[in-house]
Amino acid sequence: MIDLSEEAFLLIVVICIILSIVLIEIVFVILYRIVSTIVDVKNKNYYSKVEELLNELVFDDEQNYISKAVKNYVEKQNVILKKFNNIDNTSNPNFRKAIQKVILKFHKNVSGSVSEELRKIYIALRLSKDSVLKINSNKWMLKVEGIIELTQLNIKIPLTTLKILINHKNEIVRQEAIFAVVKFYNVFEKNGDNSYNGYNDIKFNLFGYLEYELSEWQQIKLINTISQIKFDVIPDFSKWLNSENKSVKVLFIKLIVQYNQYESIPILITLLEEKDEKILKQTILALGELEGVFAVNKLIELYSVLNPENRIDIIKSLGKIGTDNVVTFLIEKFSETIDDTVKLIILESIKTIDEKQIDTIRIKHNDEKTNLMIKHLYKNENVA
Amino acid sequence: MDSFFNILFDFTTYFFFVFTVTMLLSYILIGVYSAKAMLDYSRKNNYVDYRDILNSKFTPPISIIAPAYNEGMTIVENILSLLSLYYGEYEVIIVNDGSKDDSMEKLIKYFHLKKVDFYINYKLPCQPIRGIYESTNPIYNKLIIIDKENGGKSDALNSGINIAKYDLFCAVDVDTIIEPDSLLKVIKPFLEEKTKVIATGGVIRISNSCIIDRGRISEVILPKETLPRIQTLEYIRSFLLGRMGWSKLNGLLIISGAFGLFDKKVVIDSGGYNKNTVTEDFEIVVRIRKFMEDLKMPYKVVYIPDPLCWTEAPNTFKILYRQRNRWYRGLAETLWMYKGFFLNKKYGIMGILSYPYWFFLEWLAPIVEICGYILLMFFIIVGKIDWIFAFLLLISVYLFSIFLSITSLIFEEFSFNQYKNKKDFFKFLLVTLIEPLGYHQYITWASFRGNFDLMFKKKSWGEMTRTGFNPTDVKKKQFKLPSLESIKPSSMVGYALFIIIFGLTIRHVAFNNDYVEIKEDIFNTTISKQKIDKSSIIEKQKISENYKVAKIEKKRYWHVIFHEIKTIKKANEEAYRLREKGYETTVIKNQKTGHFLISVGKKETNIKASDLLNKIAEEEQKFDLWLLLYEE
Repeated sequence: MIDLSEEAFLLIVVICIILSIVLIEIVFVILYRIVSTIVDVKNKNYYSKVEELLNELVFDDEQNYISKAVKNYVEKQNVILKKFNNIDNTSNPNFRKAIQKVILKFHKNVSGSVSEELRKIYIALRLSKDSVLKINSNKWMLKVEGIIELTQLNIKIPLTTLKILINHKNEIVRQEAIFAVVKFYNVFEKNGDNSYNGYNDIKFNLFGYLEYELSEWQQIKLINTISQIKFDVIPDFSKWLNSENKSVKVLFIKLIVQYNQYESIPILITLLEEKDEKILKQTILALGELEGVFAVNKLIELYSVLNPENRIDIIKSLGKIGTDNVVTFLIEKFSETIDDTVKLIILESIKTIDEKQIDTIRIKHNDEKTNLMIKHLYKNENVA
Repeated sequence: MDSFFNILFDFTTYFFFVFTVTMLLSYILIGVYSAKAMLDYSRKNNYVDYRDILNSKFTPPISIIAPAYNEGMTIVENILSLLSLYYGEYEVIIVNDGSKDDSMEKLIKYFHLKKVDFYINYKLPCQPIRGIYESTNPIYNKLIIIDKENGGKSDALNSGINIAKYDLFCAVDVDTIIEPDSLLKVIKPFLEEKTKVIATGGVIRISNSCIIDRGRISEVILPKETLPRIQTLEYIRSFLLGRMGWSKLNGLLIISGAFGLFDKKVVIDSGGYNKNTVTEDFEIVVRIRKFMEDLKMPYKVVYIPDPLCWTEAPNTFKILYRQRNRWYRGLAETLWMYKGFFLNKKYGIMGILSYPYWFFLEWLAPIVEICGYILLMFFIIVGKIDWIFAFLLLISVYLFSIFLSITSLIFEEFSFNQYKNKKDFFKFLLVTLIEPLGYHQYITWASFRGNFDLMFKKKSWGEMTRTGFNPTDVKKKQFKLPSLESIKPSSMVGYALFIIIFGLTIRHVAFNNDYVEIKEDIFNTTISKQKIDKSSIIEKQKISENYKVAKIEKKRYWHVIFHEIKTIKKANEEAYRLREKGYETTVIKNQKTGHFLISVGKKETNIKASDLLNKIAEEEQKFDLWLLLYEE
């Protein structure tokens, strides 16, 4: 017998523990792979059958009696249920998940009446109830899934539910709830309350209700969502420029630009007094995009007090606005500035406003550097 | 004398104990952090639809900067791939860093380039720029080519930054295969984080054996060769088990040079890329972090676990040795350059955690390990070895290394699961068993030698006759378990042996794509990017004098006539010889035999296929020529 020390015994224990963990890990991965394969095979089988059936139901004219022959809702629902039950029991959770997945996938790629048919099938199979249950779950991931499913299928989620989720502690839940509200409700009434003025006209002052800041990512997604709304009359987005939520201000400045709301220029000019960097930057850029002539004096006035980055934004915007006094100002700044990047941007702005003035600069600064910069301006013309 | 030995034993015992316990705890903690970060990320990004930002005019534009040196063989294809990324507004700046091959001629011809009068504002120093070119073809209006004197990768990146138009730039290696949606993924942290993000990076994967079609990975295959396969495991461990954790702690010190997105202003203000280091991708991150810390401005360096690009791993020990040696030198250089960080509270997490971690567990570990070897020899000679205890230690360390590797494989399984083949997991298992036995010691030796090379001022590329970009990689690292026998002098032998055998760890350095010193490497790298997709070959026939080529006239895509050559040098010579004759040639590595093939001719050539084949067959009689008929 080998006489082992106490420490060696302890080490053997450690070895056994590590070995056990390693073996458990290996077995776990192998089992996981086996189970995944089985589930995948089963799901693939479900997917192909569900896809086939959905194709019949929504695309095949002869089979499409759901919207034609069968008028009664309950009867229609039963017909659909029966057809799906022929594949497997529709109360089987895995099967339901498969149906849900396929419907959502189909729905992403279709529009019009087919999309509406899919929506009806989703409701008929009570999958919408599954989605509602998810929203009511305690897990944020399920909440998100539920909101996304219903929003995608245009199944209205009650405002009372969404209002709670708009300021949820999890940002993804908040984000999806906000998108849902924008999609389903009239959020562009500044003083909107929950008054019910018609089926699709529940007003809700969403942007006054937000407690959290919107990230740039969320802003871009929101602008996309809003862009898809078919407005009878495009709302006046400047109403939200006095929001206390800075990100809301930035969002609406972007929306003003997106919808070319020139009438908002005077309000935008007032925002040039803002101390917040993001708001100020967005306002300067917006005034340029909207060619806010009345903002010229204010922008010129601000030039000397702002930081170099804001100055570049001002030059770019002035170039887009382009009035005579702007050119004089820019020529003056060209002489004053020592930063070549700024000089180049000034030249580009001058060229946009009045190309002839480039010659003025050429004559005034007859040096190699300026000539090179001017050549740079025309490089694209030369290439073409 | 005995008392001297006892003191020596005690000292070394305590030292190794503290060292190994620290390592163990560090890796476990980082692993836990990584797991949490991975889980959060996958949950959060499960619902992301990147199409939303694809066409928005509010998505920030990006300048892609890709330095290139002697990349003539694949440069056109690589640029076409860069020009077809999914992103709204971006420009592609290719920096031809004084290539000596025909890169520039190829670019001018293919993209119809014309020299333009470009005013360059030299905010960062760089070698003289010979000219800037843009395409006369509007479909390539995103493309800008800088032709400059050779100055190295850092210099090339600095020149690219000088002309970059947009506020964010993405430094990439022109010879890596970039995922089409990588820009969309890497921009996300810049748009969603509340704190200013100054850099983002992501996972780099190994492309050896993968099937590449039109500059994209069309099928992910686990490397068939052992060395790249081991490195695949290293990458997974490093990226998924290590960097996610450091990112969550906001202590990430490296973004791979193969693909990283940076705030241009911060990089310029901090002085740009350093030309005096061999690991510029490591140095730049430390530099910009220092810059932000000095300004006391809150910032983040973010890492995302999505695979962003694919790069080739070395498949010979020789190249692997040089890589690891170079990384180690770069690591040592950078650590020395920023020695003021060490345990400096002023630099927050970076000073208290990141820097010490890199110092002790990345830089010092190979040295400690080599000391372990020496001590082992010494203790064997003086007969102080406790064989039973040493053996048990070895087993425990070996098992722990396997545990770490398998844990990282579980991370991979539950995240991106790139290797779906049923046999892949078992192949990986085998790798986890063999990696600590030999491979690790080799890497440790390469790293250790890096110190000497640094001391003797060895530059990996010596004079400025550098060529091309090196493949990829990962810096190696060691890991040691603490021993319970920390007091008994005899256990010293156990520690030493333990350190020798054990070495697996989470690797953190992936200094990618530096220039390499030997011309052969370049070809080795670029060549093996081209792979023959076996499934697309529909026929292989030997060409002889009486060969009937009528068949191929019916095929739209006939592709290759080749002969196998055993050495890359010879293959290269032959390729150039054929090119001088006017053929378009590509050197391809046959993954199965390891030999090199020369592909002649091209798809959809205007020349009648049979005429060209007969001509080549006639001219190249000394070789056995084969015809491959392809389907695309």
